[in-house]
Amino acid sequence: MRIARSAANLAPADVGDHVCWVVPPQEDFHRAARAYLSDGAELGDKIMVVGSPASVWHEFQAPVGLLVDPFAEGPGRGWDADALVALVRQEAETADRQGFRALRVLAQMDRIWASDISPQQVADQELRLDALIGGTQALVVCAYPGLGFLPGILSQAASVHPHFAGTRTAMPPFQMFSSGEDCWSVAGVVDADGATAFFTAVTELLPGTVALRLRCDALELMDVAGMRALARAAGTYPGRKILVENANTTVRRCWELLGYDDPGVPVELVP
Amino acid sequence: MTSPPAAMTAGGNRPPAFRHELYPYEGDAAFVAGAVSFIEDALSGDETVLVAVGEDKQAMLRDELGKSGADRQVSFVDTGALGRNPGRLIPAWQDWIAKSVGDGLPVRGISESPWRTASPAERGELRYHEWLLNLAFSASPAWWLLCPYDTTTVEPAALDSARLCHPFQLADGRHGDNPVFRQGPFAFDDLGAACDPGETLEYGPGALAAVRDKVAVCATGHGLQGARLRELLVAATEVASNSIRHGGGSGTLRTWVADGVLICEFHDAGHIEDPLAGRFRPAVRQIGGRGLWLVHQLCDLVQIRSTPEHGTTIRLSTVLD
Repeated sequence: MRIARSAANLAPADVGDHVCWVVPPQEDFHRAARAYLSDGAELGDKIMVVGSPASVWHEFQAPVGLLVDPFAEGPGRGWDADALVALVRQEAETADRQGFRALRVLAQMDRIWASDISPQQVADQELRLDALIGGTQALVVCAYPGLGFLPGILSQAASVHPHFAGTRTAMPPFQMFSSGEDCWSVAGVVDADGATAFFTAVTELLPGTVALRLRCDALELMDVAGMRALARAAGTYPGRKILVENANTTVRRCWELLGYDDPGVPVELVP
Repeated sequence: MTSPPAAMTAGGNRPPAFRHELYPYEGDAAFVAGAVSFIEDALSGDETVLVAVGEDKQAMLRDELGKSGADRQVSFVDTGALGRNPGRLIPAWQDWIAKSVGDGLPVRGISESPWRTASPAERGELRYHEWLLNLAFSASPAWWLLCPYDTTTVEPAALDSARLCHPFQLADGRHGDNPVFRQGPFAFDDLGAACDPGETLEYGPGALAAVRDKVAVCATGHGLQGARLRELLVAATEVASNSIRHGGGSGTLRTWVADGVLICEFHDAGHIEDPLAGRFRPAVRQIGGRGLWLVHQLCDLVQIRSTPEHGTTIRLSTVLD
């Protein structure tokens, strides 16, 4: 079972991880990125950089390394919706066939996303990528330069990865991630600071299923804004419902006190 | 004991309305006499009777009413389940009355607050609750609430305050107008000085986690854990969110423990205009108005002091076991 984690750096990254790295100043980025890739090379991982051919790359050449630069297809245009997910899937399978321990990816998101990417697109892409990573021998670090994206994009991105690296102030209050087929985990606190990102993540997942399962074993708290977001999201797609599993007694009590246990709200809190 | 005035009965000239009546009495015998007379009047008119008093008074009434079998026609409601916070009483009465009104019957209630066992802070909020009842039920279906006060045990300040906020009284065996009643703003007690509050946290947008961290450090240091801790953290999050959203964008937080009670004090520049904010159960489709409601349900006591001049101070109390 995957467990959410927040850390100051990339040191804890391991196979199966999907890390949102809110990138510190440029010098730190190069040093930390090089260390992350070097660790992989030593451990027998296949290295893939999706992004700039600049300094972090030149030490890792084929066959161990692979460089894909989305800017080659036109700066700022971004990839189509499935390109990153398809690339990671394909290269993870290739790395496995080639006998590598795992595929180790550093994705520079400012060279992957279009400059005008929306929070909805970020949530959709990252959650699909996470579902893939959870079931493959890959670890992916999505590097989001703090100065390269609007705060809303950064908070959305951080909340749809199971793992986070960066400063404490940039840590997301909650993390949503894949925990099996058609099942998602919610960890941390869904409060007013994260309610918009939570609503976006849930509404991006709902179209893909009749009953969206949210495992809440690691959900500590959900405040009024979070619960309102959940109820609103559930009502966005008529005919679908959300199953909130294993929520603690406080979440359950607050849900009932706020009257959201009304049969008209398509959310069920189940054991 | 006289019967109720015609104005309060179905055939009266005045429109039916909420009748909030003070009953100062001296000792248990007087309590039983006044309450039983009130109940018997109600039952003779086929009215529904709800009684919310302490266990000792409940036993007295059951004994007395049991002599005629009338105890079986009275609903004794469990105020113990509501906890110590008077902020939960108005929605409870709303629920109880809604059930009775749904049966198509007029309603009478008897409510005696636990003045003897309440802390000074709780007594202050009980007094405010009595004042709020007039506002809360001004537009409700007609019902009559008798509030007994034992003059041998209730502190004089509480009784004086009660006299000001009950439009009617039962005195000398007669139900009538209360000449001392005043319609006006409530005179709050001062909150009193903070007790060794330590550092003050200034919070703003994006700082809800820091607010929870500060509360958690103080709470866990005094043994609070599990669901009680989580509930306090939810309440603290709601109050801080209100500061950020409605209180000028920022606020301050202080925490301390005094007399076995953990207190979290929030202050911001906003003004809560509605004195009934948080006192009504929100409708499921309602937009807004849920935060303070939830805070009242989760905390042992909520004290709100809000003016346009001085902003808003909210103290959340959690009794440490």
